[in-house]
Order: sequence, then C-alpha cells, then structure tokens
Amino acid sequence: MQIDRLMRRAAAYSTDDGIAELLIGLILVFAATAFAGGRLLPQEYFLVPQAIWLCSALGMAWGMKMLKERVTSPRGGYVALDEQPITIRGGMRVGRRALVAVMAVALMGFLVAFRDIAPFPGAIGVGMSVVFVAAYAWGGFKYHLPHMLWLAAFSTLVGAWCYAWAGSSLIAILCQGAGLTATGGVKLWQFVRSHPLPAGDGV
Amino acid sequence: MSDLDRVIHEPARLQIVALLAGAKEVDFLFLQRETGLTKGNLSSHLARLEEAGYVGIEKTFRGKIPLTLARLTAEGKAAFQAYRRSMNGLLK
Repeated sequence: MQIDRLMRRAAAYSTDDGIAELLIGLILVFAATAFAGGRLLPQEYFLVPQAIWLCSALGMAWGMKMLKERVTSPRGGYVALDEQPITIRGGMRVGRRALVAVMAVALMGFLVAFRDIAPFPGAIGVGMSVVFVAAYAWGGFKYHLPHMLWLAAFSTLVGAWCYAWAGSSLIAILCQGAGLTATGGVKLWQFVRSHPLPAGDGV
Repeated sequence: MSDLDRVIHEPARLQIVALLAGAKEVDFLFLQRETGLTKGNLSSHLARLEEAGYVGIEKTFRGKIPLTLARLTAEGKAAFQAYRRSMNGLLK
C-alpha cells in the first residue's frame, strides 16, 4: 500500500474528469473566435469581442460547478480539498510551475522573433510540445501521457498553421483551445465510462 | 511494534485514513470507489474510526439524495502522523 499516493489521491481526483481542460479550451476557442469576428465589426463595436471573452471566462466558474455537481460527484464521489498552508515544499512546487510558465513564454517569444530563420515549418509546434512534455515531467500539470500526445499533435498543427498564416496569433489560440477541449473531452469521456452511476438511491 | 495504533494499522482503515488525510472532506462514494470496499464493510470501518474519535461523519442531503461526508478530526490527523512516524522508525 502506497500511503503517499493515497494521500495525494484526493487532489489528483479533482483533475481526473478533464472538466478544467475542457472549459479552458472552450474559453480559448470563444476568445479567438470573438476577436477574429470582431475584426469584421465596425470600429464603434470594438468592445463586443472583449465582452464575449469576459462572459465566457465568467461562465467557466458556473460551468465547472455545474459539471462537477452533475457529472463528477454522482459518479466518482465528492471531494473538498484542504487549503494548503504555505510550506517550503509547496513554495518549491509553485516555483517549478512558475519556471515552466516562464520557459513557455520565453520559448514562444524566441520562436516568434526568429520565425523567419527557424529550421523547418512547425518549429513552434515542436517547441510547444517540448514545453508541454517538460511540464508533464516536472509535475506542473496533471496530464497523462495519452493526453500529452493529443496536445503535442495539436501544438504541431498550431506551428504549421502559424507558418502558413504568418502573424495570426488567433489561429494559435484557436488551435490550443481546440487541443485543450479535445483533451478535456477525452478525459471526461474516459471518466464517465470508468465511473458508471452507482445503483441505489444515495451514498 | 506494540506502540502501533491498532485502529489505524488495519489495512482498510489505513487506506481510509490516508485518503482522508489528503482532503478536507470526502463523501462515502469516493471512499468506496477508491478503497474497493463494500458499503457494509466501509460503514463498519468508518464507524470504528468514528468511535475512536479519528473521523467525523456528517449525514446530509444533496437535493433529495442522502449524502454521507467524512473528514479526519484533529485527533485523527495527530494519530495518523504518529502512526507514520512509528512505521518509519520501525523500518529504519
């Protein structure tokens, strides 16, 4: 029996259902679509895309609560996590995540700045895949390998599209959103399949 | 070896306590899924832990569905930490 693994199980369970990825992905898709559509609107409606993006972000909290209550809790159970006190170990974990985020931003900046001399089309996608895998290896995000492959595939697609449509960062956001939505969808589907509704009228 | 807390040392109860140690509170279904115990078995182990003062049980409703929530008490947390220390000491 691995006691440490059991102690981490409650925290890991909160990401098992893929709902967070699904909703963040949808927000990215909404944002990219809204801003792309906003270019077609007259100048005086410049706040419309921002409003749509803001509403989708606010809707995420509601969507997360609703899906957790209706899909996750009846199948796998309800878990409330403790608010962790700040410890040296916790601080190091936050530091590692911050480092991964800085690496991601720096790599993206580098690849965008030097896109003209990148050795082959899709370099951005490869770079993004490296960041995802590094994040996985360091425990920054709680992805499992099959989901990382989804993300890597979509990230490569992002790179190819960015080269084809130079300068259009919305396509990158859209593809990342689609990648996260697909990843979250697969995780949610797997969760629902592996956690059928229990028989009986209560627990 | 005789210092070991017999209430926690039983494998099923150790599983339950370890799961509860990582959360503020969990429901019966989560414990049942994670431990693989039957409802009756889990109930009796939870009752034993509650009797020892290690676990607090709250019976409530989610809509019309009964819901049983379990959480580790301060006494339970201290006992679990002491148990881990004893086990680590034994294995050194």
